[in-house]
Amino acid sequence: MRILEVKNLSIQFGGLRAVDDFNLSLGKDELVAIIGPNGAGKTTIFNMLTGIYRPTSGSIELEGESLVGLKPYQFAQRGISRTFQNIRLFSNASVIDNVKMAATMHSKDNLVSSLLRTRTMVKHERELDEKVMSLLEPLNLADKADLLAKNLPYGDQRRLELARALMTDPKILLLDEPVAGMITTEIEEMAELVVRIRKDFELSIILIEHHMNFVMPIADRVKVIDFGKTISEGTPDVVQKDPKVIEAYLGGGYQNANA
Amino acid sequence: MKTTNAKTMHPLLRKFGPLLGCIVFYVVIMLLRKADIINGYYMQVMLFAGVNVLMTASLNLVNGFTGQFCIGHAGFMSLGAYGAAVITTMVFKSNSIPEAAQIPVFLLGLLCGGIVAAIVGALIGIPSLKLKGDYLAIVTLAFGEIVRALLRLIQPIGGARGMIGIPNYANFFWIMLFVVLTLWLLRNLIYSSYGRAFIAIRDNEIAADAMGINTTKYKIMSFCIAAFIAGVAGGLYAHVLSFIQPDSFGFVKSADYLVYLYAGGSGSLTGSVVGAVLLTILPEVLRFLATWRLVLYAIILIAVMLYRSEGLIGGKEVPFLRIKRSSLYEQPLFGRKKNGLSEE
Repeated sequence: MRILEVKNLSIQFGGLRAVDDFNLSLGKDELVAIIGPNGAGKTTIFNMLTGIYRPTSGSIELEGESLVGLKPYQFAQRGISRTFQNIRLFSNASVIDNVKMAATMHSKDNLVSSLLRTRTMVKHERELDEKVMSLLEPLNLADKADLLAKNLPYGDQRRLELARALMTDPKILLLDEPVAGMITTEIEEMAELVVRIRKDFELSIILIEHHMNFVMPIADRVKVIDFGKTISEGTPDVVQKDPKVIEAYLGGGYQNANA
Repeated sequence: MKTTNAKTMHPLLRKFGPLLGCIVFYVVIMLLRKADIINGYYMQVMLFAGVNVLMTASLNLVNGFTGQFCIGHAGFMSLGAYGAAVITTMVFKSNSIPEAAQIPVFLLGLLCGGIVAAIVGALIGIPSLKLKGDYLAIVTLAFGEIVRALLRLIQPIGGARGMIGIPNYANFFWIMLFVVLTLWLLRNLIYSSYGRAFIAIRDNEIAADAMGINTTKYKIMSFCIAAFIAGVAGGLYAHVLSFIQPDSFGFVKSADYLVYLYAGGSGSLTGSVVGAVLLTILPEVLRFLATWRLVLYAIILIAVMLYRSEGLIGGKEVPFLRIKRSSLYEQPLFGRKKNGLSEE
């Protein structure tokens, strides 16, 4: 059973066809990477898969249910969670609150019990607190739980975004350039983390990245996008040797677009 | 034995300390009033300060915690003031209400005032909060003026002349009760999943949406709760002054609350209390300067904004208005006894 089926996804901004006929069939526990030069349309694909943009045409089906036309929060509630290329944390909230905020939709407390802070409500809060701490622990964020998110170093902020995305209890995790701006050792750590998360949470992952030494060892499949079109697809080994991919990255890109 | 005693005393004191403090404060004020050290004029300033705390704290929920921008908050206040006054002076004729029924009628009036304000809040909030951005500011600005203009036209409630003969039920006890209760409820709300959703929307609406928070629903909820509180505050105001007129709830009043909020520190309940109380008292203290007092008032505000742009108390809370994470892990004070206080 494929968990996500994306067919003929396209979006047009005025005269620009930013993404043209994108197809993806994602299996359970699969890790697919989307690569491509800057401006190729990778983040636009993510924005369509999370409901921020509504595609001009095409379909998105999660476990058989069509998601096109839903609001972003409904995408998240149905099990698609994401991180952002330019980190978007709740910067004036503490680390632990950032993660708790992503559990809002699972909250069992109604307005009255929250206003009165009933004992049941406090119990739920305690359970949530424990759950979040156990999530922060393996990400090395537990001792920073009470710091403001904006005061964290960059690498921690990236991991916090990951923790927050996991808290929504997703079926599919979309990672938008998770190692942008990181140094080699940090990139290796993040690769290990992504592999571990995928295994522990039994997640399907789609990730966008430029760093080939990050993508190639961990991806099951790679899709290469250029000027909104899919120009190559396959296992990392196959894609790396594809002349079209080499051309797209090293020059002659516009000829590809015409091809 | 002694150590366990000390351990149980401490959280007890911490839990009920603020309540005890409020009672002591109330008693001291009443004694000073009785001794006439606090005269009627001082008392009235204090009552207005209390009403302004309610207004500023509720505005804080929308502007400070949810990150929206409401600039017509006095509009909700006027709806509440008229709503409550209509109940106490017109539905029940104020001078013929028996003594025993006065308080229930007064509370019913406040409730009605709050509900009217909340319903109108929903009516204008739903269309404007569905959109991202500053639409709410424009809509609430217009709303405040429309309400004022409409109230001027309705003759049965006095039109532009205003409404007189409202019973002055709102004494220090009621004002203080509502202030303490509202602050307690707002604190609880802010430290719950609702409050976290509000803050998430404030800090990053796109991320809040992507994390499964129905941003429209929570924005409307925050806005309606604030409108309700403003309505109740308006009801109290009407029953302090005994007289209301549409023009006293104009844009200038809304702007006052914005000033109290940002001078005190938005996103801090303590800031709302400090901002509202200080800035209600300040113009009165400066009265000896006659016409120069508003100049000095403005200069003080500019100085505050220059040297403390986050507001006087920005980002901080006194212990009573903050809930620490560690308190989640404390043993309940009253065990599992079926005790009325245990839900406190």
